[in-house]
Amino acid sequence: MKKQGRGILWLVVAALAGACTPDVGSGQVPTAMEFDLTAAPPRVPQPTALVVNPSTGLIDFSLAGTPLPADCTKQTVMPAAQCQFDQWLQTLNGFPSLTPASAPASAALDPATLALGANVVVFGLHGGAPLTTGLAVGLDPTATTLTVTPPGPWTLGEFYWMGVRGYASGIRDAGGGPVVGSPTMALLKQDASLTCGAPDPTQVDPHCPGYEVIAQGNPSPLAAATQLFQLEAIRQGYLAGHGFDVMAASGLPKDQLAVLWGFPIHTNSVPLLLPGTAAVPHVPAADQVLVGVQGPVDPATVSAFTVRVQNGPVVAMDLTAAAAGDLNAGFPPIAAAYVPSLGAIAIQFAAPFPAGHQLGLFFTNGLHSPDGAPLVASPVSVLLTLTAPLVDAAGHSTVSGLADADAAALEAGRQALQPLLDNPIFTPLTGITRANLVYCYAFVPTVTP
Amino acid sequence: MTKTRVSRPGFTGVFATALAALAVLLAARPCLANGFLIYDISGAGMARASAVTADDEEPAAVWYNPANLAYMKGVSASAGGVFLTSKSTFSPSGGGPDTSTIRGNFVLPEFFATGRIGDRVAVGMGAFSTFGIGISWPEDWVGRESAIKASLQTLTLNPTVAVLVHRQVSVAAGFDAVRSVVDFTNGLPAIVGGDVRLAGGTWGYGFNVGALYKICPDRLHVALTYRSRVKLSFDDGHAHFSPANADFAPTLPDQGGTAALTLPDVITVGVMGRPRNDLALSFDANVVLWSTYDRINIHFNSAPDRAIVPNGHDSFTLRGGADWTFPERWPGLHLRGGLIYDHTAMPSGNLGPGLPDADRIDVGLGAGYGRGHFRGDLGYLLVVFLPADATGGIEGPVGTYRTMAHLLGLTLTASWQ
Repeated sequence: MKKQGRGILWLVVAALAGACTPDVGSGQVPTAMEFDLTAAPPRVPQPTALVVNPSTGLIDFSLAGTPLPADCTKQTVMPAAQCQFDQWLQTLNGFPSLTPASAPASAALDPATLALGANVVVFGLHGGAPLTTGLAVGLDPTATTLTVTPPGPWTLGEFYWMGVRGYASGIRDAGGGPVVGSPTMALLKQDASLTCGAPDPTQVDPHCPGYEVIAQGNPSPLAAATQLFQLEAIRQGYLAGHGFDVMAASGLPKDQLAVLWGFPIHTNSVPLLLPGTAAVPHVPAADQVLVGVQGPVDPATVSAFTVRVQNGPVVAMDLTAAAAGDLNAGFPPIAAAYVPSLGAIAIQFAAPFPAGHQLGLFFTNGLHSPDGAPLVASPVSVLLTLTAPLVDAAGHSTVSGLADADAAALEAGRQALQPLLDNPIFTPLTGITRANLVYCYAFVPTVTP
Repeated sequence: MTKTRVSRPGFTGVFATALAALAVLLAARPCLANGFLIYDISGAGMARASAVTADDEEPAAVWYNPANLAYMKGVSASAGGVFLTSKSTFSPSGGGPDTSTIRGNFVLPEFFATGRIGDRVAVGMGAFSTFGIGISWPEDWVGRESAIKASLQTLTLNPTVAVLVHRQVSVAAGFDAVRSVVDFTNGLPAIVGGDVRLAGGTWGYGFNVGALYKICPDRLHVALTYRSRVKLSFDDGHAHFSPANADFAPTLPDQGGTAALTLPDVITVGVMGRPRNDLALSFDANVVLWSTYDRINIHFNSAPDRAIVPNGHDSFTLRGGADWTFPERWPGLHLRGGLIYDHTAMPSGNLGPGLPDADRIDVGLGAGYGRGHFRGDLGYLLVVFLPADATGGIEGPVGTYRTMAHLLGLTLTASWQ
């Protein structure tokens, strides 16, 4: 009897120990379009105007909290190639026109729901209309990043707003669930000032709703207030840029926006180069090459380089001959001119290309547009001229946004060009430096009339 | 001998049944004495303002002062409960409508048992709830980010041994195993909307000691007790976030969390004087070290951590009680009364709606009647919270809290000598 009583006692005590803790319930975490400025690296849609310095008009990564070192070889924060590439980006007043747009999600998305014009809205601010055709909306190989790729380059000088419809009537994740926005987006969508009108971060009311959100878990009230002011500046930028207005006018009201971002395309004309696409040199005849240029070119600035005769910004080399030590054949005589009807710089060789020889084309920023602005390079040209490798020891790309396979292909070209660009007589002879190159490509020409 | 056979096998059965009942009846508890100490837990004690440390002949002495057990004969067990109803009202300092809590009605069951082992030693066991919070504000009220619902429940299992070291002096010591469950619901910031519910359970352990000196037996007694602090570490807490703004849902998943709080040390001194055979007057003073309850850091697995800073201060309570008996006309009858002044433990700068503490004045009344092996004691306590200003604006909105509570305690005791 005593043993039985003791057993009951222990049972009750055990029940007391295990029971009585309330069931707080549970909820499912929805997939989100991410917009996290505090992550390292930031998980934000790209490209983004958030890194365009309003005072200089240039891209400035310090605005994202990742200032670039002056000397990329003496830092370990990022791969040297990334550093050098970003340094080049910081010379631009907008993003390269061949930049695909992307927005990260927290989980895989359903590609069937990414309808352009309905759930994914792209609006050209200067064009004044949404882009409803032509753009390719898709997902990266992991299906966790939404991508928007134009059929050709983005329009120079244009500012694009991109919005993604989420929630009940928008895009869906791979499991069919709704996709929501982010805390950052929720704050940017606020109608009232996030800072409650405080003149500076030291005077933010701790009961200000925006501050209450930012201050959660932030050990420093001043840091929280400073972050709040940064968000308010972004919100003001969204308002001043009419981001919400153009989305609403395009049928995507603010309350259905899971993510909204905008970005400018630089205004400078650019010789286009994107291997694997039409943006490569066109060889209409065995003695002629056309290099497409996006944007106008001042014809007066287009001239050919001739050794010891003319120091023009358009340089053509027979790399095969030069490699064999034949410097005369290495710089074949050419003429260069801008053909407005083709939107291309035509390079006319005095003689047909030697069969099987590799040609090298180099343009400097001596080429200008009619407004006097120098042409700028396309990203591929820049990548080919970096001093740092584009792949690491494991074969992975060292530049964000550059796929491993593309990086490997470009690295081969970079390594082929590096001895030339590092040759001590190359710059004195041609006037070409890595800094003034706006076009750099090597290829074995194949005539395609 | 026969009585013993009948009673003892039933002892564990009653005990187990009562414990099971406690497990079932564990419900949100209000705060009754300063901080969230629930001191008045027996019908007889409550009626005397619980000024019974030096004069308690009921099994509930396991809680009040176990040194009394050494003078109790035979075997006793008591079961009872306290019914409590309370309501708080908040008046914002900047004007605007008052907000009242949803009236809280609570039943606090208690169980005690004692028995002698030989001439000098007695043992006791108690299962009771002496710390608790239970408050529920409207979902949409102005202080929702500080508290919508707050519940802290405790159940103490307290085995005790008392020893008669001299015919006038007894001492006792006990072990406290405290099961605690917390369940809080707070509003999320306005932009986020919705709320977060946090819950967890844990065990904490402490001890208690007591001494009783019958300077002049049955005429003048003094007593001293100490009950240790108990740290409650909620290492397996769960949080369920329900943000109204869906954009915050991905960053606020349901998750685990940890928190810890420390129940305070309680030191009590008491004196009982019996100027007449039929009247006992008693006075107790509690010192409660609420400075242990200064800050609660809630650590979430991924959501931003949160700190609650009640900044509790050490506090005191003064109790005076009287117990009249009528041995000639109505033997077995007791009439009781008492008065309490309870000093708040929470500073106004940190006062919040989860624990709207205040200075309090309590008035106790009650009666008891016993015949043969059984007796019943009924106590009533009116708890008047003086208006308490919340001035900090961090732990809750700025304004004034007003609270009124009524307690009705009933204890049934069976004794065999």
